[in-house]
Amino acid sequence: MSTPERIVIVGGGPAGQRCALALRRLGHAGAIDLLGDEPTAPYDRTLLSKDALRGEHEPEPVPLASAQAYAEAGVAVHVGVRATGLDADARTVALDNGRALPYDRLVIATGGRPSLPPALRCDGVLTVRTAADVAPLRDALVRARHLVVIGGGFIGGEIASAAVALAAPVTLVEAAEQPLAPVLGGAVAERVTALHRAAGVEVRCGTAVSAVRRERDGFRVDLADGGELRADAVVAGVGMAPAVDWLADSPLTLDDGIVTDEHCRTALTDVLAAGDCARWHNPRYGRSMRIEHWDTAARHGEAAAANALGIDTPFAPLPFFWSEQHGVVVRYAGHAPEWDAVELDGEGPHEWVARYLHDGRLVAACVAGRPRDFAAARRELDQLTKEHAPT
Amino acid sequence: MTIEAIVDADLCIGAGNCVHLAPGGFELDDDGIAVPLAGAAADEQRLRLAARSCPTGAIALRETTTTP
Repeated sequence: MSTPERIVIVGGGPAGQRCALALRRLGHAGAIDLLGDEPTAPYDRTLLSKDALRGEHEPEPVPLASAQAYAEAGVAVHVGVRATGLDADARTVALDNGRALPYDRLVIATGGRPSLPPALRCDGVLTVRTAADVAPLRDALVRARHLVVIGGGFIGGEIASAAVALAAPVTLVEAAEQPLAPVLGGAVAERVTALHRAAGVEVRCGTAVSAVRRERDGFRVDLADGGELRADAVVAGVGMAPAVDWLADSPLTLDDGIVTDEHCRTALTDVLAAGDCARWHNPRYGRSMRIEHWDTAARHGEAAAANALGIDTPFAPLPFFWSEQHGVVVRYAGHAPEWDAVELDGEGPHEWVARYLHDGRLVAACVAGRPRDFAAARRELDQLTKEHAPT
Repeated sequence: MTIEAIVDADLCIGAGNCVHLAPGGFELDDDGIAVPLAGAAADEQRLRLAARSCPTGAIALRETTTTP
């Protein structure tokens, strides 16, 4: 690749923000444009579901970098502008304000958006992803006499945590036998369920939601097992979809995300992708992955910056995320699409270490509390996955 | 009374949130581990956010009465 003049980054999440600042740090001399479709510059989304819902800090989103930091790095931040199309021949990005922005190198980091299955598509059902989602959700939590959270994953659990912290009676509905059972296995999921129940969350497991309907004074949630729940607010945390619709007509390869190699390179020489919207080849595992973790996205953005400048930087992270459920920090490292044994250490729901083994080897760890045990497990995983990386 | 940040290098994974959230307060060393900067320019609220946002709980804050 030749030395690029103007680098455009589409997407105002952690991948975009880290990419923009890394480009300058790595010596890029030309223009850097960072575009986001939200009204504010990139901010810390992890604090939204953890603190902002409970009103624990300023309601304004916490910026990931100050205006001064962007100015010093010569990054032009464009807020409130959405990319609507890519013209690969002209090397321009079409914007919803009617302009076409030219680029020499393009980094796509448009992230994801909550996806709702048809059964949950009902006017008024809330989701949480962006700062704009917080105010209506917080309103609902403060006012609700009964809240239904659909989806017992980590986001659903964080919303339920915020709800009980605000004294809103909440029912958590999960299709699996336990919240998080598909990700963590039954024994570990039991600990998380115990955490919810101890905090006062009513947990309804093993039944999907068949319909959500608006009623005069709220919602009716029909369950596949024949049960029904009444709620004055319904929040869904049932999954994300990569925000790549705007690229449907482009020459990029889309397969549940923009397909790239380990160097963040797409099917187009001048276009790279990073973060939640990208499905990339992770050389640490020798397989393609799309990951929706904050830390992975941020590092992905920095790797894309290096590769955009021709600095050979394979992106080979050990997946890692953290969550807070009723004040307990749960951390996870590794990649375990399957496992054949789980070693669970620790009593009770608040502090435990789960080690996932496949063919006798540690492939992932999930730890509640006990940060030092998590650090040790993570180091062990990092070492093991490097030693056993496919060549 | 000022606030001072302490990084537990055993817990830090170099996520870098602190470097961005509290400019002037931290940098990553050659091993990618966060190090508080001496005479940190970051203000107290930013340091608190950095500690809160650290995904591995590696940042502790302590109040100091030391005058510069």
